[in-house]
Amino acid sequence: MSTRQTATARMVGQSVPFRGAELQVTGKLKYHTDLHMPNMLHGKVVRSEVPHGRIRGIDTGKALQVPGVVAVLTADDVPNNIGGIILADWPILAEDRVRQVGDAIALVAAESVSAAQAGARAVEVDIEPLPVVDSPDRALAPDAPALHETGNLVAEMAYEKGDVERALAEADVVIERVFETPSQEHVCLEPGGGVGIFQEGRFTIYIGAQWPQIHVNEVARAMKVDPGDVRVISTPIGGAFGSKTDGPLAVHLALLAKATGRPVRIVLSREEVMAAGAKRHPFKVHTRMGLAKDGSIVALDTDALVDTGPYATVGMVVLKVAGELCTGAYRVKNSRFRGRVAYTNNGNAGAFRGYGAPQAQFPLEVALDLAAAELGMDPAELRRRNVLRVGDEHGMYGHTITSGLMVAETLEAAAAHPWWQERDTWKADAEWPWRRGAGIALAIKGVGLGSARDDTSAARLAISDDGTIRIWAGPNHSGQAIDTAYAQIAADVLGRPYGDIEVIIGDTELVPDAGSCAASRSTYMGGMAVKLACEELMARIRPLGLPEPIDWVEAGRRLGSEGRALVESTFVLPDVSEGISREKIEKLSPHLVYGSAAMVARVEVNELTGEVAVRSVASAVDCGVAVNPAGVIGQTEGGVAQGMGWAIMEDYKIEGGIPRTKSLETYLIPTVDDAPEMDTILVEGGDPTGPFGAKGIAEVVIVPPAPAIVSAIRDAVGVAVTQLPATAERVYRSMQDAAVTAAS
Amino acid sequence: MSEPELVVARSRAELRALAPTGKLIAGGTDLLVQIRAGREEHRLIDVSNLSDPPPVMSQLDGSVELSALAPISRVIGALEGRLPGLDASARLFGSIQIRNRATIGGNLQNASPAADMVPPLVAAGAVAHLEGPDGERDMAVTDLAAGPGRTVLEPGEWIATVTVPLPDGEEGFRKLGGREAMAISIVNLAWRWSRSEDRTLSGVRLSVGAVAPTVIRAPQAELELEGRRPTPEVIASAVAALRAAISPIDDVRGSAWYRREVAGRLLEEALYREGGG
Amino acid sequence: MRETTGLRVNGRTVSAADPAKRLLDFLRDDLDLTGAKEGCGMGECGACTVLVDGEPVCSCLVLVGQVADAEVVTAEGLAAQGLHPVQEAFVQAHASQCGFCTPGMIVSAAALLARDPRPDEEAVRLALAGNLCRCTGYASIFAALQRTREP
Repeated sequence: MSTRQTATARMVGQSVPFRGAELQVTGKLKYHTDLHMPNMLHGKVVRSEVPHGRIRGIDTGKALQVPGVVAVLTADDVPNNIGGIILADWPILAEDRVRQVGDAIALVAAESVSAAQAGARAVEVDIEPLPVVDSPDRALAPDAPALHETGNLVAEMAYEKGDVERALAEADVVIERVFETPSQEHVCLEPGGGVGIFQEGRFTIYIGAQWPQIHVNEVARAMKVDPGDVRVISTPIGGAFGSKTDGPLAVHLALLAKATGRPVRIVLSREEVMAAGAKRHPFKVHTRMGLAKDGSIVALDTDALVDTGPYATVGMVVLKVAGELCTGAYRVKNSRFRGRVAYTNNGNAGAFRGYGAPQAQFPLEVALDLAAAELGMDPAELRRRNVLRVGDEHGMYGHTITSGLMVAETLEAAAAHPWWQERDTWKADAEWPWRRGAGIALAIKGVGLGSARDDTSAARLAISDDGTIRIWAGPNHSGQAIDTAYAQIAADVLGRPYGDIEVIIGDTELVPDAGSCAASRSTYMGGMAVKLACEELMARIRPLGLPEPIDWVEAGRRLGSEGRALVESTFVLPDVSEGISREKIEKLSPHLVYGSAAMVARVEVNELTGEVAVRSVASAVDCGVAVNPAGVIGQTEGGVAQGMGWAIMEDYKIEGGIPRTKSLETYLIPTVDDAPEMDTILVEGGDPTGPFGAKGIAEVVIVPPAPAIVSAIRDAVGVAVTQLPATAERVYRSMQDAAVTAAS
Repeated sequence: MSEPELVVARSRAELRALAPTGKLIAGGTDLLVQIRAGREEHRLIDVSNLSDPPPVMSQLDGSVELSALAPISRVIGALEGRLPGLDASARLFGSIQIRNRATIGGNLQNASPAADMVPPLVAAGAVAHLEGPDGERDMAVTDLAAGPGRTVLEPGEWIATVTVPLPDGEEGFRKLGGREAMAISIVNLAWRWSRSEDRTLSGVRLSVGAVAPTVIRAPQAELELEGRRPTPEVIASAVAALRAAISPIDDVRGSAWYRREVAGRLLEEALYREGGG
Repeated sequence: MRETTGLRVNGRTVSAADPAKRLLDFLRDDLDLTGAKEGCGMGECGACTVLVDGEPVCSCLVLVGQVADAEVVTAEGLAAQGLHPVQEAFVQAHASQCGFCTPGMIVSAAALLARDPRPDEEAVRLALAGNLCRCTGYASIFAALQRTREP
């Protein structure tokens, strides 16, 4: 390590390779699935096969006799049998009732995986089936069986700005549609799991965790221990997208570890992840949009019904995000949102990249597209006439849009892209039976949890006697190479070579709680905490009067001797302040900072079969300043593929509460053969509140693909799909229906 | 469920003796998935390590004999494009990893109505050469399957080779799945026909998958095309006959309605593409 | 009888106790070669891809006894003499994010380059269709393979 050297190049803005990449490509990085502890047992979860039922009895006798089985636990063995990230409505193990296929009923620990499986099969569970609540509509019907004592309505919100009914009545064009957006599996390639250890009264849980601290809290609550006696070490996360936020898994590990006194590992099967794991919240949205002849949106009425499954998880927050984003990237004079979240016996829905943003903006963007057609206006031009610009009122809550938002610029960049500009030539070259179309869509998504939510990140920095800089920071990461970004930020503040900065993430004993790797907040909020810590260090070094370039060994020694070598920092998400009352800020948690993206999709549709192939997607992304441009582009490209999967392919099916798409054989996600050609443009900008102007974009990029693709399908074959995914069958049916309508 | 034992047959003679004592495993790409899902087998007999396996491909007079025990990727490589329909179906069958293990014999013996390799073989009039403890016999590929997952093979019998007549004219394969690659067919269609200079079709053979309990031929649709030019009227009649010949079901991949519709559409597409209309 | 030479993994002769064990479990549990991952257990995701006699296969769908005379190479083995060019290209092209699919993807990509040093886009699609990646959208993986073609 060079101790007397200044970094010559600015690191922020450089696409340095991701830290840890060499370990990944050589197969040497150890995920939770790869951990072996001495004397380790293997755990297996006994799960419900029925969507709703009363547990009449659980007999563990036979399971305990299976050779190799060490322990079998049920709800009676859980000191405080509650879980749930917001509402305490999710038992760690089912007591008297199961509410979904995959509900955890019992836990088995055994000497081998096969013994654990045999033990799990030998647990006898007597369940009396109960009527299944298989949709939110049914859940909210007066005669529906209540899934919880509080009833089936988890959350409800309503908000109106202006006079929507009057504006709709006066509008020149009204578009009214009911949209359905489906569930979606995260399909991170790493299944959930971890290792639990109980030693000398303390728990250590190894688990791939987006928010390690939440597991500390969950384990402490359920095991009735002090949070200080729980350490969560996040292993590298093999993909998350929201799925590795909450859920009872960490407590299951703690229970088995405590009961056996030995390390216990659980690795869920793909089928278990798909049955028991969270999914994207399905939405049914009734949209009415009114426009004036000049294309200005005069009214937007949105009524959303949300299926959160049998446990609330984050359903009410997803609803809140959808409420804020139902007007998307646009000025809307009169707007109204009504939303309800219901319990059902369908698989539990939870955090998933976008978190209400795709569900709210798909209806909006498709309605705009239909309006453009009706007005005879270019869809980019229609958006241009309504898009939010600095100083505008937010379309729903009215707070002032800041200079950080460059969504109008993303629209211009996408609309200027050759894949949009030259679409007519491209379409003319279609070869029968394939027809071609192009679509454009844009989106915004708030960064962080929102105003008035005390959303806080933290970092700790130490300079040692030999000048080494170590930074313990969070949020953790799940593939965004956040440690790389933190080191880049630190290198620039400190003026030290990037390679000299060590960054440690993911261990609750070492890293201060920085919140979740979620809500597009890690770079922005964690980066700010790192930046503040580095600035504080510099503020302590400067008075030492050391000559330039700084001798870091000397700086480390001097600060160490003064007991000032350790710096801690916190960063609190700034609230919106202008154009909105404090009361509304606290109630609605709107965002000051939004990331934005505009995309152009080109598709081919087989006019005979309805098959859709997405050929190319151009993205213009507004991330402020890109700390690591390759990282931003990677997030965008991944978002495009995941958004495309949701749009045309990922057809999660559940009937009467029983999942039909139970494995990767029937639930299809895009392969490389489905991947469109991609081109990503980073729009120049900078958010005044972010680290070196950076803000988050990991979620917003999943929003535009679906509406852009659906718009392109309509451009190709003339039918507007309002229910996702736009599978070949659904597109075919729409074409047939349109043909019948046209003929009659 | 206990883990089945594995016995490796080292020769065809050894295989004849072992075959009746367990379940044969070649590539295992389907069988091991079924076992993981709960299928009970006490003993697996590996056929992928024979010292005297059938040749991967033998060129005969007017036909080729393909090993049913060799990985599909090797068979397709050896064919060098002689069977374009089979070649197209193989490219859409699983992934390279799967094709490097899976065999034609396994695909036939699985008797999945959606099996991708089967329609081109049925359309080609391929004949399977069966071996077993009691000797050898030949059987048309189209007669092998008795229903979903069931064949007419006797216990201990296996498919050693498949003899495929080379096409006089054209052959092709079209699959509709939930994505471009690595998807079980919603519907697939294989065809063979010859065209004269005035576009008259002859030797028409059609085979369609995932629309009936087994992969089927569509003789009525073939008759509608045989000896005729594919005018829009002729194509419409053939499509109607094809739709009448099938008995699709609703499943997680698609509805019976869509399957019936789209089976006809695939034929329409093939006929127009190949110069009809 | 064919001559048996034994199973070799990454150039090392190894002995497998239980022929009925999945190759994936043997590599991971017995040899602690955890580069091959289990993402689905049914050949759909490709995270367990390894080379058997030079050809990529899903090690979750192979029993050890079936490859008792084979040469098996894993992602770890490709790096035996420093990073394999495709590994280097993945690092430089930011083609791994969470990294869980990466070892399997690398193995498939290395097999492709071994038989076709300058693959076109179609060849890449055909070769990698059995390896799911949920993070990258595959664009950076195309770029990594493009990078291996550069001098």
